[in-house]
Amino acid sequence: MNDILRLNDIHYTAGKKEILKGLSMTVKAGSAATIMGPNGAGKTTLLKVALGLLNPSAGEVTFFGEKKLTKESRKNLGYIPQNLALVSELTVLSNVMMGAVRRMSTWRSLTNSYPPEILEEANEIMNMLGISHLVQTKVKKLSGGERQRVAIARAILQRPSIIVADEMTSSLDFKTALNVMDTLIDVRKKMGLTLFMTHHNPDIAKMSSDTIYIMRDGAISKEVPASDIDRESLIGLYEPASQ
Amino acid sequence: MVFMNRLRSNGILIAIALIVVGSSIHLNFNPISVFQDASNSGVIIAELLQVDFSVADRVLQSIVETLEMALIGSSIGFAISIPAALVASKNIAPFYLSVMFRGILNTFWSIPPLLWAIMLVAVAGLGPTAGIMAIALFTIGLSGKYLYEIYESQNPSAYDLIKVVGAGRLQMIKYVTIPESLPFMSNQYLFILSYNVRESAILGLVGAGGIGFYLTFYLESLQYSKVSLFIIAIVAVALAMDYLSTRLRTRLVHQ
Repeated sequence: MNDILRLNDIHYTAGKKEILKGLSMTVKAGSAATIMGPNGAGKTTLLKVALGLLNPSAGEVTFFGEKKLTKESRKNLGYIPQNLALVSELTVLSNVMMGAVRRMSTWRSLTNSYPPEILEEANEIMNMLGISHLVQTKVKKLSGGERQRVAIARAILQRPSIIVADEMTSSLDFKTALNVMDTLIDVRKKMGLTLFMTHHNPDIAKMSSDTIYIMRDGAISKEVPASDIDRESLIGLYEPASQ
Repeated sequence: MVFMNRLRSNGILIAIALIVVGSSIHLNFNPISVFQDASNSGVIIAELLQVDFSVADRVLQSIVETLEMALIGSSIGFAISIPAALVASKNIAPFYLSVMFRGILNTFWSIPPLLWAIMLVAVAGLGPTAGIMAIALFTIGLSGKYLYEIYESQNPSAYDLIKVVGAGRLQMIKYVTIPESLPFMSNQYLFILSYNVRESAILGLVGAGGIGFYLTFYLESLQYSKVSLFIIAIVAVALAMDYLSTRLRTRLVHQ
């Protein structure tokens, strides 16, 4: 498998605090990698550095073989942030269409005169995710599970080869979280996507990933197959190394 | 640590008290002087209490003019403040443009409507045009300042996302900035409208139209019984506007 994302000896400092301390890891094409770790380990910072939203103070990020995330390489990237980044005053359709803005002219996106082929694609995706009946509903009126599906639809419409998702089920009850992850796994299979995620729940991480990277104190402390993860082993892995 | 914190807050309180006392001495502030000529005050209050309804039609006409001035000035000013605040937002516009527009908006905001009116009466002449322009210019400053702070504080992860999807500035404004700020914008418009109704009421003092014009005329000609109805009208309209804008804002929030 080719490497989609490679992080080599990444350091990131915010103010006086060093958040990432020489982190290195690789995400292979077609894999599902999950970062797990205690609060404050630097998981969200790691994703933001990978996405080019934060510049590392040292080290090298390679995305799709390029050292800088270019306009071209961004086309392969779908992103679902921790709070989903949905615009609550807009309809489901407008939120989903945000994923396709780079594929249409500025004029078309500003006037909502979406190209028919993109509109059709968006409808197919919303249909697949079971939210096609909500097209004209404002996002602020949706339930937690529906909002997650809108965020997934938006990410898929970016036509990515990788979806980067930051604790996307953290605000959901377990049953809804399972449903949402089932949907994402299904989409991954159909589209051959790579997933790069962070999760807190070991059951969710186990069902959605191939490999789990344990992150502690700004670095990857362990890489384990997802099948080996359970709640007890995770507690051990989160413990600081004995001096 | 607790002792040091207490000492610091007490020190601040003492410093404020000293500044207030010092300023009062510097200005020869003497509140008792208001009551020294009690007979004169009594006459004025007695006349004010004898409300003269013969000016009712003039009150109505000037109140309508005041409301129209506030509505036109607020609407024009607010409409201009929306794009001006976009250019002043650090997360949307290039740094040099945002710094420049912040400077302009802060200057417009720091000049009170009455001072704008004095300058504009000199340019545009007596009448509501100067008043409307004064209200509009002040509104650009006040609303612009409020709006750029709103634009900058909205949903940072949505801004991250829009960068990741490769959207341009205009798309960012359309998909994130404006929709996320809409509830705050309608609130701000209602607030500024209600605020400007009160401001418009005094612009007539310098000849910039509205109810203040008649108020000054009757005050200067010592016809206090005719002043009463104007004061009652101003208070009634201000309270009504406050009530209406609060009701509307509550409705918008729950929509």
